[in-house]
Amino acid sequence: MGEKRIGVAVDFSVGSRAALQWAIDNVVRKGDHLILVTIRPEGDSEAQLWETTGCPLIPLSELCDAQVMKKYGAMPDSETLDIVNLAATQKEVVVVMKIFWGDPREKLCEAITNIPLDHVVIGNRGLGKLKRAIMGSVSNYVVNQSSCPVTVVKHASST
Amino acid sequence: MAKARTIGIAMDYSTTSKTALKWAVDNLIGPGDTVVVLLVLSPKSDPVNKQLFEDTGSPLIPLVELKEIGVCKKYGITPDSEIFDMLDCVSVDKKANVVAKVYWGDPREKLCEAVNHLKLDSIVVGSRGLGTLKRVLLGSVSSHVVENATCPVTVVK
Repeated sequence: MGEKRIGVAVDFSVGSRAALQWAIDNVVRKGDHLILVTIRPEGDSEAQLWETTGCPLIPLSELCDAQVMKKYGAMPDSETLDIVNLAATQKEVVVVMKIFWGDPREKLCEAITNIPLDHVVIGNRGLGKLKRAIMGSVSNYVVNQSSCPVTVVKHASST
Repeated sequence: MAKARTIGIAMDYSTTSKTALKWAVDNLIGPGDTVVVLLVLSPKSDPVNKQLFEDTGSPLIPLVELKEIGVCKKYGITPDSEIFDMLDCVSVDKKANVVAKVYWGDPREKLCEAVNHLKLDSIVVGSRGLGTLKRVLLGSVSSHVVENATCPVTVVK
């Protein structure tokens, strides 16, 4: 079984951290690639440059570098960085991040086909203003449209 | 992945649920884990068992017993060699415990109940089953389980 590419949809909300932790604890194995996919709104600084394909894969070392991340306009929070650093060392996985600009629903599904991803892990609710009762609109869309298996990780406070 | 987990797999013999089983075997299940194959049968098909096991479902049936024709007949399970082969593989290669549990009733409700009763760490479902309404992308049962189960749900296409 070759190395797999496991994508985790990250918006730096509590739900997405739970999804990331679940992915690391349950599906990610030694040698796999853990790809954090985050979608920034259109109109951001770097948006025009990387609009169609998303930015190049950002390795873990650059993820931890605040100056680099500022350039991309995406600042991972320290908890997320801790989680992935631990996974990288303990489980010997390759951690990268890819940033897309545009609508999260579409871009996540594009990411699945373009990267490509073997599996996607997503939280059930994120930072959306409309606190949907059970499942967020992006999670819902990805579960329906994704071409690969999707795991929805529920965050404790929403159950 | 040190802790042993209990992983449920929803099975209705459809292609996607077999794909879901295979995916779980290849990607999720590790040594020491317990795999619970969840079968939800129509209550109309088996009034005797239904009455007996209506609330809690059948007892957990270990793989060894599941392969016996007598046991399958008793619970109204259709023996399927493809599925048994995959379960054998999981039990031997991955050193996981394999059991099955049969419920009678509405799959939507019963699968979500199973998550709570069996304290499943995670559940895997196919995207579309055998429903008469060939829903475009995600079947009604899968959709319901994704939204309502209290544990992480993996949908496999």
